[in-house]
Amino acid sequence: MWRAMDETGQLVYGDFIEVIQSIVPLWWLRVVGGLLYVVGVVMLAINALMTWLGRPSVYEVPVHSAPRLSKHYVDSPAPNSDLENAPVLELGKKLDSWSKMGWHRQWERLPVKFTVITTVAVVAATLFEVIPTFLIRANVPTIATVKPYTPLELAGRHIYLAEGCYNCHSQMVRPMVAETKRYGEYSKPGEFIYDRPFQWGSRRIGPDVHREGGKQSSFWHWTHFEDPNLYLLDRSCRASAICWNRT
Amino acid sequence: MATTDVKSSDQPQPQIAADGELEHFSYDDAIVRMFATATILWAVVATLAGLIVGVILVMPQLTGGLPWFSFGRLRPLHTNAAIFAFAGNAIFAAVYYSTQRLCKTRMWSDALSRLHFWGWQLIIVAAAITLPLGVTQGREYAELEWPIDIAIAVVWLFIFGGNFLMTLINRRERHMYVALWFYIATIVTVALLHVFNNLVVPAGLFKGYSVYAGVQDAFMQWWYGHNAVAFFLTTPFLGLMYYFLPKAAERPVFSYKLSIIHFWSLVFIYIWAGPHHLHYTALPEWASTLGMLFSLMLWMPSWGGMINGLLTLRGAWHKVATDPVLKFFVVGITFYGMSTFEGPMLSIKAVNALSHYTDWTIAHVHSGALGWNGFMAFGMLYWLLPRLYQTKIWSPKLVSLHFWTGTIGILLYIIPIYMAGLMKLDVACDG
Repeated sequence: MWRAMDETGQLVYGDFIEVIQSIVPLWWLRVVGGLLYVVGVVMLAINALMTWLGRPSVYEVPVHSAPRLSKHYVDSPAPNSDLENAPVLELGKKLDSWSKMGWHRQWERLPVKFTVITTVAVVAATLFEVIPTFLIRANVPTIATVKPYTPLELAGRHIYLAEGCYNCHSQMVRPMVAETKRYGEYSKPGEFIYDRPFQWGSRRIGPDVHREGGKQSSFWHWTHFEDPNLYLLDRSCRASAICWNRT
Repeated sequence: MATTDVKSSDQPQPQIAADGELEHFSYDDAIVRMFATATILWAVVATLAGLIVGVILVMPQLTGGLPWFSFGRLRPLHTNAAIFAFAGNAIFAAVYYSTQRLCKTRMWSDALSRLHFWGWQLIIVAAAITLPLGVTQGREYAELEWPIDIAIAVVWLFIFGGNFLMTLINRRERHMYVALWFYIATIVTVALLHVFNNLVVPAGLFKGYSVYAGVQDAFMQWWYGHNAVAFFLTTPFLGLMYYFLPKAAERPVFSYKLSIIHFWSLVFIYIWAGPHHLHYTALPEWASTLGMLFSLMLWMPSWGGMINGLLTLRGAWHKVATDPVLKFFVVGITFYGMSTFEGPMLSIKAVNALSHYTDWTIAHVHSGALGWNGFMAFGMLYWLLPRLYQTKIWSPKLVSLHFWTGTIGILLYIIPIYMAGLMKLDVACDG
């Protein structure tokens, strides 16, 4: 419904709330599913409690015995290749022997080495992406008109963060016709250089708000958030509440 | 109480017995009981919080205008509770139970184990207080502010990680079983992700500013966010699977070679995939494409884990029909397989262009969290409870009932939300 357009190229559902309204019955079903899952967890809790009540007065603590690992340990020799006597290249035999994982068997008895190798794998994979992201300037072309936030804007941003607005709203207009029609010009990398943290969001329960600034007057926002009909609703849900009210 | 290790191809090593002197020891099961109890308590809290935010979405007037009872503040509480409280404690219960047995030694320090337990619970309580108060970084799954982040780093890396590594070093079993590899990868990587994503310049006790801005901040955040799924919700649960599934099924793991291949490919490939959360955003095209390619590559190593798990049950499928523990595991692993197929699919740019920002993502996440993480944890707990409390499970019937209620619950949750996602993106009307 977000993307639907008629033959004249207009959005069929221009009002974001229409999409949410059609989804609410499905959200109700989800509540039922979630409730069942919670009931299951409660069953687990009850079963655990009752099992605990049936415990012995003193727990048995079995004593086990095992020899200490000797410091002198010789790895078993690399496994022989099945192709030992087959007419294949020496390299093939070596590969076959290698693929029997004798080398990994060695790693498995060296926890510190194993930890180091794992760390190297993870760090190396990370650096392949991190270094270019941070070092290549072309990633984020500067936009001359983008200025640091004013104190008032920063204060507003704090409220946006504290109320968790990012849980319902994105600040990222993707370069797609349906989105630019609905929200405006698509978002550019250079626009976010003062965003600490970024607030692109991951799910739209409400519409994108990246291009909201300046669209409506301050008075509109004042009344929008102070609508007495919505007094009962919490602040972060007011926006969606307004939409509910319209129905 | 079972004490033998599960080995796929371990050969007895007679020369060790000849060399070392015999030592006597017992396992610290009290700490496992503590973590298991915490897992269950937080499972109730986390799922209940989820239910509440779900209800707020359909009946926003219920919140009564209370700021701390709003969707925006409670949804992070739900996600944090589910990931770090419920899944976290389940991981710790699994690690503390299995590591001692796989290493044939008690945990290195009982004091560190307890510090870990109480430290972690304190962190969760701190999160449960600060998030409804609106103290947040505003970054998904990394909402907690810097003082709590420092506590997490210390408890995770130094207390938990230190205790774990020293236990490995003091082990009496020569070779580390595959579950332990996954635990190692978990501890190392979560520490890295957590520390580097949460670097902030403090501005007071309850406020910090990210050292990264805009595009770079988004990149780091989803490097973290995606790999939190990988190394907090996947690798430790694979470790759990590798220990508890063969135990419950009384069958050795299907393939040693497969476990090596899928372990190393998961560890190396997962890290790259983060940018698939940012397709068609202001993130540079190359990063987005790289993220997609590596996400596609992830499909096979992920299924390597699923195949190794399911095929471990070869010759034991008749047990699945009667043992609820195995039922939980089978459904859990199946959901793992489904969501790790769906993940690479959603990472394809053309698909993501449609699915991103819709409810589809929520359904995808919940099939993984409720199905894989939840059911693996439940299976483990039902296997552990009689062993930890040295008595029979109170009601096997209730276990079965939990299994069916949970399974139907998951399906009733995800199917409508998949539909909601489809309606939002509206493939049909798009023409």
